[in-house]
Amino acid sequence: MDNSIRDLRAERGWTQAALADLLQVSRQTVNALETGRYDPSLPLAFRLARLFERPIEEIFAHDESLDPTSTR
Amino acid sequence: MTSDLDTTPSRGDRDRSRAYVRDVVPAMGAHVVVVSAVTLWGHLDGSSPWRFAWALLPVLPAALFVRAVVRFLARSDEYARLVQLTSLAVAFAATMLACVVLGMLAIAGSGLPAVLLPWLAFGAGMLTWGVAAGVVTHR
Repeated sequence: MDNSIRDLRAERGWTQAALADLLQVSRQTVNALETGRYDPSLPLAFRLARLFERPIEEIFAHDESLDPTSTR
Repeated sequence: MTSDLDTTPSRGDRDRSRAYVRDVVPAMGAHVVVVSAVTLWGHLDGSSPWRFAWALLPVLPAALFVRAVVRFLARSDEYARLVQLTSLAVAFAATMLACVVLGMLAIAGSGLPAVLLPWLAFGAGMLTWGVAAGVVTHR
């Protein structure tokens, strides 16, 4: 799943460590989220949405070409 | 803009690392003390029935290590827990495989000293845990 966490973080001038502290996760987790190696749980996605004051679907974009149930 | 600062651990990371060290260091200290005591006074190669109690004594500090790992997992976030539990599962499979392989080699008369076999399985499990954690983190 694509996401704009890195851009949103950079807009605010936060380091990964600062964002990790705000989300109460490790810096490694923030890095895994930003590089797309890990998709967050719903509670963490909601925490991100609240923190960045954006709806979840504005932060995360589902790549439909990777969805085996997609009819496209 | 922020990339040059991105490798520093967060305050939470440092707190978690310190808490893990606080759990592990007493376990290591207890392990050294108990193993030294067993080596000095246990006489495991003797004939006293107490030698079995001495032989089982290192289980106590080992339990402290297990407690440290469980508490580390409890303090970890969802991604760190996924990495650790995945690598522990791979290490468990590797340990089981090592036990079967070493057991079959022993039956076939490989000549490996019997006292060495469980330690080889232990080493295989620990090594696989570390390697798997690295692979899962960077894949």
